[in-house]
Amino acid sequence: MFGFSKHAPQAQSRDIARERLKTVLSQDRSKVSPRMVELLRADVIRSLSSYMELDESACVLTVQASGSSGSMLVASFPVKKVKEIGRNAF
Amino acid sequence: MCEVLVITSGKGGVGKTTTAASIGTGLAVQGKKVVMVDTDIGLRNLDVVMGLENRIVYDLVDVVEGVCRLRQALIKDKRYDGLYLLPAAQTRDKSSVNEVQMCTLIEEIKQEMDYIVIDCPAGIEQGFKNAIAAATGAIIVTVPEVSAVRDADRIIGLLSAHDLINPRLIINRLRPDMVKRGDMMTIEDTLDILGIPLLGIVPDDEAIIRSSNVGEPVVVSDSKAGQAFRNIVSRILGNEVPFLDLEDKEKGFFESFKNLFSRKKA
Repeated sequence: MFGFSKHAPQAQSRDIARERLKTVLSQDRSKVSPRMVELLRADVIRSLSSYMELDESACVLTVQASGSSGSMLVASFPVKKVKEIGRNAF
Repeated sequence: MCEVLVITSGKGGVGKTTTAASIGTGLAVQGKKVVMVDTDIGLRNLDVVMGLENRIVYDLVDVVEGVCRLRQALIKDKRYDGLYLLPAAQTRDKSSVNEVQMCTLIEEIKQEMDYIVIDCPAGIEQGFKNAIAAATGAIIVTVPEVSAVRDADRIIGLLSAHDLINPRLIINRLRPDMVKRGDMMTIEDTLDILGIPLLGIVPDDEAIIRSSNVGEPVVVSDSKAGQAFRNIVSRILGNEVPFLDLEDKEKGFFESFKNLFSRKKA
């Protein structure tokens, strides 16, 4: 029949609400505050920079829920180059 | 053994006072001796929802400060045998009472009662701390919306830090039509996120507003919400009651009939 358009099902607002809640509660429940994450990220980049050159803008540090009340830090730091010190230290 | 149930939520306006009024009244109707305590000092509402606003002489702060005896402040509800209300003060604020005073007060009320139902104010400050100080059990009221569920989660965390284990959940203002359309979080969604046992589900119902208009707790009304609260009271008393089928089956039939002859708009 003309005029009928089959459009892909959009995400229902209920699904969006549920996902947003899970994310926000994970942050709320976490003992690591967003401010602390920022400070940690800067600190870790600084420490690692002695050994390797990092793509700083792409460095990601996140806090995830672990178990019922714990937190897990997950770091994802792209390495551009390992420095001389790094190469000879081990 | 007198049970002290605190009705709390974190978020304001989700139905704590409505719930406290209906649970208190419902328990009394089942033959229990009940005192309802309004701890929302400065913004009292349990009195008006119960239709007892003209009977207030003394209030909770008067008792705590020794201005009067407990007996003088307790309002005996003439409609329901065994039901009493201890109103909050209206011209003071929540700093007028502390946790120690609340515990002493509750201990005194416990003497001849089966249940104390505490209407907790919104928030997590002194009012909340006072309300939970002497509680033996907690009922968390929420609605299936992002802010309310977030606040309920925080409250659950605070309650467990206070050693109030076994809080139970009431999901209020459920709209089965919206749930069906995918526009409201389901009961399962909410339970999954909050992780506490379900005490009851109350549908969004005009009867709630009509009841509060006339100062009658909705639990005595002939309505879906009324039945939902009666079931909640029954579960509190230890009975296993199946959850209401909230879908309006007749309406559902007509809805699908109507759609056969109209183009669904994109």
